[in-house]
Amino acid sequence: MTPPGCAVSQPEPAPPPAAPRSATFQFLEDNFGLDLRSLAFFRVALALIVIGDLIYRARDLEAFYTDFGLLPRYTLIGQFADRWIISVHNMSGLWQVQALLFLIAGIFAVMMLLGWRTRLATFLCWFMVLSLDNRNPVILQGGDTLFRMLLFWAMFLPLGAYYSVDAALDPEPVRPRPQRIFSVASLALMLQIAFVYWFSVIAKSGPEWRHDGTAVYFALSLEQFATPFGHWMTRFPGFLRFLTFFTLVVEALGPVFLFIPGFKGAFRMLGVMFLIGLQLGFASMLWVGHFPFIGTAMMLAMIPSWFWDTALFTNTRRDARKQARTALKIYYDGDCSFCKKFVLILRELLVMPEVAAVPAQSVAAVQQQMTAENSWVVIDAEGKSHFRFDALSLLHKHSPIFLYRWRGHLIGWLPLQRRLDRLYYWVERNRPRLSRATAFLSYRKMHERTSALNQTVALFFLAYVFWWNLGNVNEKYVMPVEYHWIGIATRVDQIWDMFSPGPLRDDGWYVIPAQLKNGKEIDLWRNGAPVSWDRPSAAAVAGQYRDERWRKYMNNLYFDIYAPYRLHFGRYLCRYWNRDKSPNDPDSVQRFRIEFMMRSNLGPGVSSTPRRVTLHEHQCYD
Amino acid sequence: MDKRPIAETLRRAWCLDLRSLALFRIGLALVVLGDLAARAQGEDLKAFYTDAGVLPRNALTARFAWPELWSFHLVSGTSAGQDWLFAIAAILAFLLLIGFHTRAATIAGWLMLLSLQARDPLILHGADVLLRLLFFWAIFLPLGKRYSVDSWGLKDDLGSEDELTVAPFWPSLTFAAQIAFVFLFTFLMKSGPEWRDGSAVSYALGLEQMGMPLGQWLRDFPALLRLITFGVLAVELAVPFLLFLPWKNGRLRTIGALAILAIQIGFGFTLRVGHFPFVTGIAAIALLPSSFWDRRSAPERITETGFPRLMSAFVAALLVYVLLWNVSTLGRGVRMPDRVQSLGRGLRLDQYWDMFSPSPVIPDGWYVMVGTQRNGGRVDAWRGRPFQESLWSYPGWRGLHDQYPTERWAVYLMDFHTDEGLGQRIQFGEYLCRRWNAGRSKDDPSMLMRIEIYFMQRQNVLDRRPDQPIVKKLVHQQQCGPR
Repeated sequence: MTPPGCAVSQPEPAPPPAAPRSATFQFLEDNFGLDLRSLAFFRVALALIVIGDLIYRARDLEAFYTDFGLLPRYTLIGQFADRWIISVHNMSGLWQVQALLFLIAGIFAVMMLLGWRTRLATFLCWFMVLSLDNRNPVILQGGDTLFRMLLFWAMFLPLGAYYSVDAALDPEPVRPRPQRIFSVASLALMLQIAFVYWFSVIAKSGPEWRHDGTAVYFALSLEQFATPFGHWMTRFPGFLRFLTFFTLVVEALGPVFLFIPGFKGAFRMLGVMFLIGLQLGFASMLWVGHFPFIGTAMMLAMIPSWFWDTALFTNTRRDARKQARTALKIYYDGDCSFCKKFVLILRELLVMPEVAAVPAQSVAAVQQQMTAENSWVVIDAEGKSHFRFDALSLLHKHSPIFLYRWRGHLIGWLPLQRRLDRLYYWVERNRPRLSRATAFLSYRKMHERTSALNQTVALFFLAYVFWWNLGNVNEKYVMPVEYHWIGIATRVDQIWDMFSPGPLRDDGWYVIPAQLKNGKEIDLWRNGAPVSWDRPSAAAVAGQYRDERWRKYMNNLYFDIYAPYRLHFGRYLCRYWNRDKSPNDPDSVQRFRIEFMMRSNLGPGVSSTPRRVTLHEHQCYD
Repeated sequence: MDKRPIAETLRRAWCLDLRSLALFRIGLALVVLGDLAARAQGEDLKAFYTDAGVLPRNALTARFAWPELWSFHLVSGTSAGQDWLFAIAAILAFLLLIGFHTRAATIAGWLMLLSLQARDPLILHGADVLLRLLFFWAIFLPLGKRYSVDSWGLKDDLGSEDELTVAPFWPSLTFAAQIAFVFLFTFLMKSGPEWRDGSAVSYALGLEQMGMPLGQWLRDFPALLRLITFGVLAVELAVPFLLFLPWKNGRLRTIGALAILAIQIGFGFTLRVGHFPFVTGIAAIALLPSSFWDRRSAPERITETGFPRLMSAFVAALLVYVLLWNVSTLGRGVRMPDRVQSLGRGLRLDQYWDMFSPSPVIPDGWYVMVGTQRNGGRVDAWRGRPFQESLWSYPGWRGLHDQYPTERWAVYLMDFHTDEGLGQRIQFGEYLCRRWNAGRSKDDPSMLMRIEIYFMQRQNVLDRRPDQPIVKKLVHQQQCGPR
């Protein structure tokens, strides 16, 4: 009798001819499907963005997500949030509980990163991101909408088909592995990317975009947003005129390239490169937060199979490395469930499916070595045996992924390796305990086929999202209000109106002069420095915000529709500055004004003097 | 036989029986299911847990929540959202009932119960406090070793004739101690003169809002009620001792458990105390000793089910914590620092056993809620009917009892007319307006424009005459808002 899971232990055979399928479907899959390896990298990118965003947001935990902060739950729920908004983060107003929720979301992201219970992990990540976004909508930007949508469509896609714990622990994997997926959701993901750019082109209807070509100039001369490079670029208005129209062209045509069939997907690859380039261009000139990362991550999913199959392996060294991998053999202790799982997962995550993994018990000589050395055994092409961390290092050095090879050299460094081997001995001694501890990693069959339910739900949401976008740009097609709740509850509502219809013209900086109890005047916005009304340098205007979330919040506060939020920001400032101070403390803040020093942007060569706009006057009570 | 060391004797006396615990598990699941069903009946789900009800989430978080309050039920303010959460809680309770992944189901069920209770603290009473505490201590007990899916097909580890498997020591002790605390501290808090002179039960039964037929009938026998007063005190004092005296091989504990059952059944038939008798009843079941189930001689050896030593220390520490908490509620000099209290309020170990204490004299009466329509007509805003003058006159105990459609409404409105109810009134008024005006157009002549809420207070709760003196108290009046 074969022990369960034995089939995985063999190296993957060379792909036999594919099973017969309908020619039309084959054509669609080949030309419009998504490569599963690309989706795996997409998964890793999404998970890393979730983790990065959590770390980034955690610095402002108290200000943005607690009842102490600038948007306590009672105001969010009572005044601002739609009734269909869902947020678990409303469960408590304490930073401690918010921190716990951040931690839980982080665990879900790690699940997704490793591809363990991938679909569930993706759903949980999506839900936690939606919940977090809903807890404080004032600090969100277009990138957050896009990111929610990517996670949303990802739930319907097999992100864990490659390079995942799920793939490693599939007891009876389909061989050869499927290469591509074509489903409603895969199409929806492509269309979603197209919608972002196309609808944003339609929304850019101002003369700055369509006629004068001054849009990029105006965007870059907003000192609040421009990077030093972007600021420097304003010296070349002629070139920026070209960039304006070039942006429009790339946004309009880049997505079209994704849909051009044939040529092994070369056009699609071109589209990917153009659109990633566009994002990098934005990132170099404007402070747009994590948008470029998200904009790049989504393009990873679009990379055609050709790129992985051919483009990457034309290099002879890469070919040689691949050849070397087929000669490797991993022997693990077949009586140790933890050992087997570890080897299978390692092989998958190091992207080396060509390597054979077999129980040491199957070869008497190797079994002797295993018992003698108390270690797993990796045999290289020369037939030399490697043990412990030396073996791990060897495997890493053969990985096609550069980072892993680098890590292989690191752990292969002898002084370090000896220390690490001590860790190995600890693991060796505790194998039964580790086997019990890893029992939850069960062998599960991966479902390759897309279910009818999956297709139906994805189709519904694709139509819904298209309708929603259409309504944004043409009043004739606005969705009736009674259907809005679906979009609001799932947050698939979206609007792509970055820099539209034209870029913002108002720039400036904040001053928050405050009177203390002892009569002193300080600037709350500059950490209690003396008040100064002088115009700061362009870099200082961009640097007045602690981070992107604060930048977005303060930008929003300036607009009339966000006027009701100013009172709560004021209350937060009182709480923050007077924390731990008795009401009679001479240093406690009594009252302050929120002033925006507004400078209208009149165009190249015309300078305007800043005007003081009082957004809010506030009196602190105890 | 009693030559064994003390530790062994205590283990034999205090470790809980696995069959009792399994029955307790089933009882717990049924109580939770019943509680969910009761909370969801009629308009109650909408009224108490949604933003359209008497306690919208913004009001809760702004005015009624203590900092440590947390609730998943704040995730959404819609009925649909609450339906989902109720369904999840019911599924978890069902898993507990059949004993499927018992420990995980217990933890998850406990979290859902805390969450539900925190969503509307204004409708909680003693039974809810006890329920969440039992649930919490149950996490540490082996509830799924008998009569469960988890134990299905496993070899019965009851062992041979002379060996018995029981629950681990510290969780068992803590569970029983929690129940003993309820009785001990409610006894200690009953310091009012009515409990000394024997009139307490008469006063309690005089609270006709909480009346039950048997209790009302008993009011004809004041001498008997005096006896019952002292009987209640005696049982409340005796229970802790009966539960913990380690002699007589469990017979005392059986008596203790049965005494708890008896007194709770007594309460259940005489007073409207909601699910209190059921909650205490399942607690009593859990306490039934092994000797109750098999009438054989004491087994030679007993073994405890596995429990990490670290967890034992944790449970023991929590036991001390809860003891200190209870002592601090007596207000005799022991006070817990605020920091330390946070833990109890976060895990909802906070408890205060002040049923009918210090004194059982609670104001009694009935509400009249007058709504005035746009066309000047008057309605009974509470029942949503045309107004009748007879609402002003004393309707007898039955009428007082029936003014509340469900137990939760009784708890919500019991203190509404006192200062404690001050914060609730505006939201309640808005709820009444919204409920009546839903579906009516803006200029509908039957639109409710304003409401006045009166409490018709009985002057002397012992007085049973139909023409007894009543004081009419205007509790609240407000205009109906635009919504």
